[in-house]
Amino acid sequence: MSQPAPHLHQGPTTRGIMLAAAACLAPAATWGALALGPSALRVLAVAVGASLAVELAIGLSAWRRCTLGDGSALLTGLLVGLSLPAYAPLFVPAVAAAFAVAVVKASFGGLGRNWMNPALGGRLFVTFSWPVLLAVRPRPASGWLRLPAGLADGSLLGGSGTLGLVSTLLLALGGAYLLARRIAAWEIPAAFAAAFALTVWAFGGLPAGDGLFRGDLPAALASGGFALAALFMATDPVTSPQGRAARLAFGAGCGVLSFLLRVYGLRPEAPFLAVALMNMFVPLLERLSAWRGGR
Amino acid sequence: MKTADFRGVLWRDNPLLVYLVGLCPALAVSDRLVNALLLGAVMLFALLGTGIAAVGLERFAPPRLRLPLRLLLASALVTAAQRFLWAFAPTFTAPLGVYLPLLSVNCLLLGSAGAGSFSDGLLEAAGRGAAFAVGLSLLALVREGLGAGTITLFPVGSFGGVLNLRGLPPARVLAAAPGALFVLGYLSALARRRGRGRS
Amino acid sequence: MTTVGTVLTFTFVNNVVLGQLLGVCPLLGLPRGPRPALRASLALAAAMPASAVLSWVVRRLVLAPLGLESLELIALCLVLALPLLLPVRGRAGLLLPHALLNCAVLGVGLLSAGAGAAGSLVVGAAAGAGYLLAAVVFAGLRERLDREWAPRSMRGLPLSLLTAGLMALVFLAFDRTLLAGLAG
Repeated sequence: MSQPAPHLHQGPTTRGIMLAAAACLAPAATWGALALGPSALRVLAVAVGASLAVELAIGLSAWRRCTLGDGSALLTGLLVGLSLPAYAPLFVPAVAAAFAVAVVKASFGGLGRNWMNPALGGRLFVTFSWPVLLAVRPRPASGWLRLPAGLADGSLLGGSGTLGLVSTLLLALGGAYLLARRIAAWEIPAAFAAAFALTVWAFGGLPAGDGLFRGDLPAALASGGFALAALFMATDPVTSPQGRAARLAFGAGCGVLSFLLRVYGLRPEAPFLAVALMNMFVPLLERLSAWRGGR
Repeated sequence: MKTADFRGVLWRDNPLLVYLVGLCPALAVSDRLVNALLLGAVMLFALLGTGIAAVGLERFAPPRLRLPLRLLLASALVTAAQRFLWAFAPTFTAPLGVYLPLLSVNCLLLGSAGAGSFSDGLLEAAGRGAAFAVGLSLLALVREGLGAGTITLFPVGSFGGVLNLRGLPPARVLAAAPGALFVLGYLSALARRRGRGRS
Repeated sequence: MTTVGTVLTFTFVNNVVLGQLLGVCPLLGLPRGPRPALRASLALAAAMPASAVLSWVVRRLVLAPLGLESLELIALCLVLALPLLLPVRGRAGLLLPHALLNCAVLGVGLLSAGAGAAGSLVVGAAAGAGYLLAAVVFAGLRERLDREWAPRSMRGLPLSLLTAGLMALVFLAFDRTLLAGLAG
């Protein structure tokens, strides 16, 4: 019998975890805002604001209390905002955040009861609802730092190029803190990164006809979307499995799917799609891992 | 059927929204209002036919034959409706695709027990068919309005049939398969709340 | 389309349940418990290629020679109705109408029009595989839904629909581009 995913207990512990994660995102968020300018700040602000507003509205009307204190709405808003490009019209982060909080989280019963990471659900909803608006396009340098932007990966953190590289490093720093504090399980990002790196390196050159072991590894790993997904979204304790074997399988699945969707599907948001897909398999993974006796 | 009964069928016992009858065709054709209206009409027609027949079968047919006979009758009625529509309105029938013939396996789920008189069976079928059509139209209205930014009706006179709604760009997911499932899920929850409130 | 392409289409790009919306009714009605759910899913997944091939037989050997193509729907329903006349007892007897009389089985029979015998088998098997995948994943998720508290109006069918909707949403990730990239 598999154990249920951990219910985050109400109170300071939950808030502590959420706020710690949010704080770990702050450096990368600041960097994104500096590099991309006021439009990036607006997207972030709208995403966070919408997330908080919807959570407050639902809490007051349905449960007669304010649930903002647990910090999860703040985290969801930040994740949604960071996963969107800076040139998205402002209704897009608003809808994404609202969908994340209302449909993916609250409808299922609120914190701890959703099976899909809310920020992912919101990001996917807008990805497929307004594909043209979110399509990747090269951007001129528009921030306060006057950096040229590499080809974007659909997120605020920029794709390859200086922008993406610095974002990835800042996220990795934040992620390392979460791993050290045991807030995030290390097996998941480790397996994710290993599987992703291996498949991209080995097979990434195939579509272009370059043969095996010619994949563009640095470009893939340095994209901010990958770091965000691997360190902050895949590790969501509510929507990821328990148990070492299950977690390794989960991470590996995310890595392989990210590779397939990026290299063959040509999707910039591949890491986000991959984690959402693996969210579906969590109960099955836990069941398999319990079968084998691995805990 | 009294008004109170009808309101009960409309919300608390709505065949589509509460019992999820005729789900597959309903989900698939609710992307345009005109498709939903057409499918609802055919469903009503087939229901009336099978509803009357159910009473007769209850009285005269051996138990094991009842289901197969109803299935055959439903498929015959749907085939008749299909041929009629293809002959007189092919442009409206084409979008319904394979989902129109699929109604024949769903009418049976709405099968009444067949007890009672012919007029009872008729009224019951009419009520359920109407409730189904209303639920389906509601689903289509939301999906098309928010997902495609239009409302498509039958062209009448100089009216081309398509109303364009102004506002934000439409959310394409709602007009696609996932949207059907989301909107129906929430409409179903809404129907339950209203049904609970009334009873 | 190649065989691989057909299989990938019905299983992922345009999944029978999550993309073409056939077989949603049986999916939502899956029995609780992993073994019964697996049994029911396998039964339905097996019924699909059978239905596709039988439809081909009916079309090719009965309707075409007699010139009765317009009665295709009635003929297919007749074929589906025949097993119901068998004296099957017990649990299988209760399951049989539901396994046969649903949009997935009939739908596959109708969709395979125009394909040859082998083509029909491939379409049916691919559809069965697609259904099985969706059913196994859904059954797992639904176990979690059953365990957790949910708002009263959302409990049961509404959340099942929402779950299927979220599954369909992520399945949109499998699109023509990916298919072209993988299957050439």
